[in-house]
Amino acid sequence: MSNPQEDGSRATAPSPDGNLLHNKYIGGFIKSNWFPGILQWPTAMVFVVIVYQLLLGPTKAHDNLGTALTWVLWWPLIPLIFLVLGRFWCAICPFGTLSDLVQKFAGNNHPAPKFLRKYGIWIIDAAFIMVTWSDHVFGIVESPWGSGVLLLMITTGVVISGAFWERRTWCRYLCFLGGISGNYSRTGMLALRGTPDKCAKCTVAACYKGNDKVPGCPMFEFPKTMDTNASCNLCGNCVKTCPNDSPRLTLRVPTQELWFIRKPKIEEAFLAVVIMGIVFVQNITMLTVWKSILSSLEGVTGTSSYSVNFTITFAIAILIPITLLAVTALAASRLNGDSLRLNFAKFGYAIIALDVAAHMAHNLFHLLAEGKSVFYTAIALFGQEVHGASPAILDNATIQGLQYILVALGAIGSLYTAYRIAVNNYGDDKGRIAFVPYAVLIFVLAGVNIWLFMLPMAMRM
Amino acid sequence: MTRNLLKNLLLGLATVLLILGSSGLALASGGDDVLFKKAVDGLTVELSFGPEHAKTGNNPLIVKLHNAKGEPVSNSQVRVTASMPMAATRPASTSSHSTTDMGSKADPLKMDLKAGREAGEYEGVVDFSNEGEWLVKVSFANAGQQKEVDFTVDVDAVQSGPNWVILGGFVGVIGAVVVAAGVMKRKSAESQKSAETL
Repeated sequence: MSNPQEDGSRATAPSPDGNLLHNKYIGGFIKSNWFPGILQWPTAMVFVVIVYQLLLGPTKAHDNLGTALTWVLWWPLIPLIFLVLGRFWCAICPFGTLSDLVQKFAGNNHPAPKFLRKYGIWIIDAAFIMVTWSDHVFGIVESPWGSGVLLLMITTGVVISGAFWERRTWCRYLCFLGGISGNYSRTGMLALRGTPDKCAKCTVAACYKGNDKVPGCPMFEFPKTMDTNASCNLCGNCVKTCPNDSPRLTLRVPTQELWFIRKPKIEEAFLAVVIMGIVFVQNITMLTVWKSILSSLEGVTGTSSYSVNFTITFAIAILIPITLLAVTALAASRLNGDSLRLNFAKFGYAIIALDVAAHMAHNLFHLLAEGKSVFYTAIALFGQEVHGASPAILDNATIQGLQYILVALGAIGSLYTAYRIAVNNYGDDKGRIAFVPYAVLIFVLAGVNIWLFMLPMAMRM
Repeated sequence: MTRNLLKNLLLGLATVLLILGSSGLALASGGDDVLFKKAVDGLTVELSFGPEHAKTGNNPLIVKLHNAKGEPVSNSQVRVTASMPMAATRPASTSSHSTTDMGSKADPLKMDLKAGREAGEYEGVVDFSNEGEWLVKVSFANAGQQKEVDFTVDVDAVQSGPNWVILGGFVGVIGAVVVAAGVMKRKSAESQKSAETL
């Protein structure tokens, strides 16, 4: 009987146990010394171009390749990457590469501080809110210089983290994008886990500690006990170091991980619902009616200060989904007997699918209505100016149609997740009853998103 | 010796941060306001946009009114209208692949100013969408009569190019962190080595 891994004809087909690492090409690529470097270094080079363009290139976002690559191409594509590949972006992220590099030459490898390990996600929540707020008040996205300075600030944080703390402390406990990617990756289609039988007999824990050739898990994860992909960046270190061939990379149904959250954390649920509020803000402020809303608000507040009026809008937009989830959790607590806090924490995860969809739908407009600006700004570097051409890849009606489809898919994902969470926690009958308030909430949130996408939107470039 | 070196490095880092901080403060603190001044029927009208020249985007707008004796004119309703003749518009960019124009060149900006901190001072915020010459009309009522003064204001484009002080600051801080970490790493390796030798 031939070993499937030695039999070339079978090795390219899906493994009977679903382990993609047993596929000759996928497994071979991840185990090779080239991985993930072969993807890390080109990404780092593109990042250098982006930073150079943002800081020293054209001062108008409209003409800047850095702005186009960051906000028209990368930012819209990133939720899709999380959905398809989980947190793999973090393995090749230029900030991660920089952290590794600093660590290699100057790293002191102190353990990550206790407060970061305890409050990391709250710090990430706060940082994400602050960055989004700053974007609107200081115009980060619209200003290449502003975007460049943001990248420099992150770079400084990454260097400090890499210089003094071990592994990827920044990525795990401080990166605001890492917070989103952690949440979004839970909906992802890829899962990496240890094989329980093999891990049970293991005494070396090379996946965590590393060996003399490959370091241990940079994200402080222990595949033996890992039950979430929120922090796994699929860097392949555990695959390379495990002497027992224990890690398994499998495909799963999107959102599946969210159905079985063993220890729901309020801070993760909070981030999920905050993201919904931030998507609302992003949509509202890009609507062509935003100026009229702002004028009305100026009348109410009595000040024309944009910072003041935007901050009020921002706070309201974020508080709406938080309040709605809290009210729903209160109603559900009467039905399922759990506390408001536990309901909030458990069912906040159900919002993530709608978050991903709404985020993608919002940015789909930028990608498809302004996507050609990436090409135009790139060829402008070589002296080829394009005048009067539309940056749109698709017309607005088609984009709107796609946005509705995405939100509908996200709503279905969230509804099903809420249903599974309810049934898994409270059994069939009680679970169905407990599901009802959350179903209403998800319909409301999806409805608001659809309504916002129906209104005309302004562009980024 | 290494300890002293580390101390010196940290001191150096603190000095760099202090210099950067104070240079930032120096940049932030302004000098005297740039003034436009005109007289109408014995009244003096001063218009300014803060310590800098008017630029694209939001600008503080301050109007000061004084009578012939130089006394401040308070409790007046001051309205400002800013408009840009189409001919005065300077295109900010040579390429034009965007299908939208966020500027509202044809619509005049209108605002009622609020009483400022000092007597006879009125303030608001004006958002100039384009660089070029703007016609700013200041109108107010005095002794039951409506007065109006026109100012021609040259609005500069925001210079959002590289600020070398900020760039240098980031490079300095990053460099200092890496050097300090490198020294600490070396020191730690040396002490480990000497402990092993003992």
